Amino acid sequence: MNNDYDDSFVAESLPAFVSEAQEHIEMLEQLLLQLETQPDNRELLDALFRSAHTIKGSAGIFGLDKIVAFTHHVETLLDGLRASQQALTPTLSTLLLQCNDQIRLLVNAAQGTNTDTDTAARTREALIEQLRSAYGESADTTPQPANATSPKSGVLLRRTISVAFNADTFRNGMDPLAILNYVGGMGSVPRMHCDMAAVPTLQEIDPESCHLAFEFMLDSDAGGEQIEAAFSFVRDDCTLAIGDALPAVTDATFTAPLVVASPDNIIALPDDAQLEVIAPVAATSVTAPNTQQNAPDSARKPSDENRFIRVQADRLDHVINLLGELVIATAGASLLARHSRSSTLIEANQQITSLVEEIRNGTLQLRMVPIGETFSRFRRVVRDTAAQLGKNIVLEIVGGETELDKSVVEHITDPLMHLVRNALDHGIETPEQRLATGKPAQGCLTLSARHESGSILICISDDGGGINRDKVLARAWERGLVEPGTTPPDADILKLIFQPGFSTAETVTNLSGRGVGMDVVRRNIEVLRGTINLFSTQGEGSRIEIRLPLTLAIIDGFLVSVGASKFVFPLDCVVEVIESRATSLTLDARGRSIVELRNQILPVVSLRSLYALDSPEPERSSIVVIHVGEQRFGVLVDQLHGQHQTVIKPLGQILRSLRGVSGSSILGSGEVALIFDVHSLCQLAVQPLATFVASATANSNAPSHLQL
Amino acid sequence: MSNPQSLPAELTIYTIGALHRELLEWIGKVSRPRRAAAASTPWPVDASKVDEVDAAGMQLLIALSRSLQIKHRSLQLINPSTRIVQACHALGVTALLTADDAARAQQ
Repeated sequence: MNNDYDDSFVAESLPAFVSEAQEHIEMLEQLLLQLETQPDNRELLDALFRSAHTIKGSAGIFGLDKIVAFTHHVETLLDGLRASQQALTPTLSTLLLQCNDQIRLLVNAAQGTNTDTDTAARTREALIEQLRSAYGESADTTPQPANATSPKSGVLLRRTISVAFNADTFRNGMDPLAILNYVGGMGSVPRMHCDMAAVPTLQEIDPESCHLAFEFMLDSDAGGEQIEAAFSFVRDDCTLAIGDALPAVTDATFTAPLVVASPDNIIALPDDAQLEVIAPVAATSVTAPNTQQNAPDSARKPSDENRFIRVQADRLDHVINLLGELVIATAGASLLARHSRSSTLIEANQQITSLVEEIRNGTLQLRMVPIGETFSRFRRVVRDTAAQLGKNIVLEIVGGETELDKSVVEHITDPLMHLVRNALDHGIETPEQRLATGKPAQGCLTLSARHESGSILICISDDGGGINRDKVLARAWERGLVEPGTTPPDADILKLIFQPGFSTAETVTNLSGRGVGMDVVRRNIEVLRGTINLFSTQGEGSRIEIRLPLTLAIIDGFLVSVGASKFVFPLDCVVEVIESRATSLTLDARGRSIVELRNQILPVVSLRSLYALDSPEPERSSIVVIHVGEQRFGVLVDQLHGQHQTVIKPLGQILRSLRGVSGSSILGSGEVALIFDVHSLCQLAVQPLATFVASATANSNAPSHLQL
Repeated sequence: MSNPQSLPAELTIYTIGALHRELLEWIGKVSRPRRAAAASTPWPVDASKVDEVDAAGMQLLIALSRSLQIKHRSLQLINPSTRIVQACHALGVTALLTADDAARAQQ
């Protein structure tokens, strides 16, 4: 029956409503935060109203009465704001943000994520009271006309209005007579003049095209905006000019009298006389199409609505999985093609491979989202937290357009939140403290993101007090993490912060200080195959650098082998390759050496030694030069196999903690290759080089470098 | 002069197509006045039946009046219905009415 159909419709479409409503809720929050610095921005206010209006409307379709009822009050206030009946004060802004939170709760309740509680219901009632008193006041006062020069309402003002209707006015279903009647109804029209000369003769006229233009006086107590609004239906079909408002005087004190049309005047051939007499309108000219009425939504939504398609995430994942299989299968086919030695077959396969590569790039792009969306969510956190702590902090976002994989974004949000809170709570000082040390009272927290050699680099930096080394050390001594009385190198002191249970906070606040933060943050980042580093200058501020892989699925790789084992390096990290030189490196206990490359020292790691591979060392080896950030190092391998599209398969549970390896891949031949985590490898290769060099030069035996 | 033509009851976008063709026939039969006069000779058109009017209809009347001017005639709506008087005032074309009608309807 009807109910069953309705129920199934609701059940199927509710997720779409929820996800759209959530987008509007986020938009509302962003707009409110933007408006705090520009409370008069009409476009933003309009967009604000539209978002609330849309939520209410859609909720109504689904019979979500609580949402409709609550949002209605919000909408009423927003309508008043956009009609300039009142201004957006900081108090109202906070009220609206709180209301938005309630709408969010209600929408989540609608999809069953949480249930609506009595406490929430009472909160909403309190908010409604506040909303009511906010807009209720403005409803009592007479609406202020937008025209700044006009005195308080109730006074009759006279305006000269000229309007010329475009040729398609009739065809678009508009009737200028009805419009002018309506406008006339807003007051009185002491003069109305029609430019009859503009109308063609009977023989020339196309009766369905409009050739009408008018100039008239309107005495009214309505505001300029109201008058403009009367023409709203024909805005695109006319050229409208509304003159300045003057006090209405009973008789003609105008700059030029309009011709009183009389039969006699019409004889004077119309082409000249009447037109000249039309008073030049000292107008705040408001020419029609597309200017202000259809204000481009500065919050970028309308045009974007046409450009996006909503796709289910799991379907996309399925396609990417298949794509991975396709890459592997293609590699297998290419291998067979090479064995067949048929050049046409090899060529055909190459074509397929390059097409697959293109599809791969395109598909992985689908999962990319700009990180700016995540960063923007922190504006609210910074705003509220700074206020709570009595601090003055501005959030700067750099590189918000940097894109990364959607799933990475989802996992990075919580760690980022923790780090931001840390900076707010412990990093940036109170205004008094800052002024005392000669800093500006306003602290600055910067979130930035950029691509760097195959990874995305996210930085959280602040200009606060930096990490207090003494405190950290004291706490470490206290907890026995470091031998009491000893002072490790500075870099190591900072690393102590990542120890579980570590916190120097004297009081545990709601935000931070429980000591469960930093180690969890680091672990979360490592799960994403990322790294986190902390830099800090006491008195000046701190910087946290998080490095994450761009994608989790498929990368361009460089294949090498040592003995029978195959390994893959992310191609982005490979700088160059030193091919096929006679092997004569002296290695230390950990398989490291150095090499001179173009007059610079290059640390080198031998894979064979690193992984204790048994195969005999070949006569000739190659060195793959890898760069990670500023560091360069070389990896000694037996053979190079060139570029290889690498589908990343996660390592099994047992191998998860293997350092230096970030995944595995299946080659076309069916073999498994291990994919390197170059950052961990770098740390192994590079540190501590100083001690190694010292020991090597002290050793008077073989020269410990390979001349190239 | 034949009996004054009269306007139909409906003078709107829906009817002006047909009316335009009719008026073109009318205008063909209008001759210049025998005597050149200082003022143009009024050409009366009965407007008592007009019940519905819109801007498109009024525009057609304006076009008619222009064509008549060329022949030194001026369009004059006689016995105008209330509707058409209102429309003339709203659009500022009271010149099409007689002075009396125009003045009377100002109330």
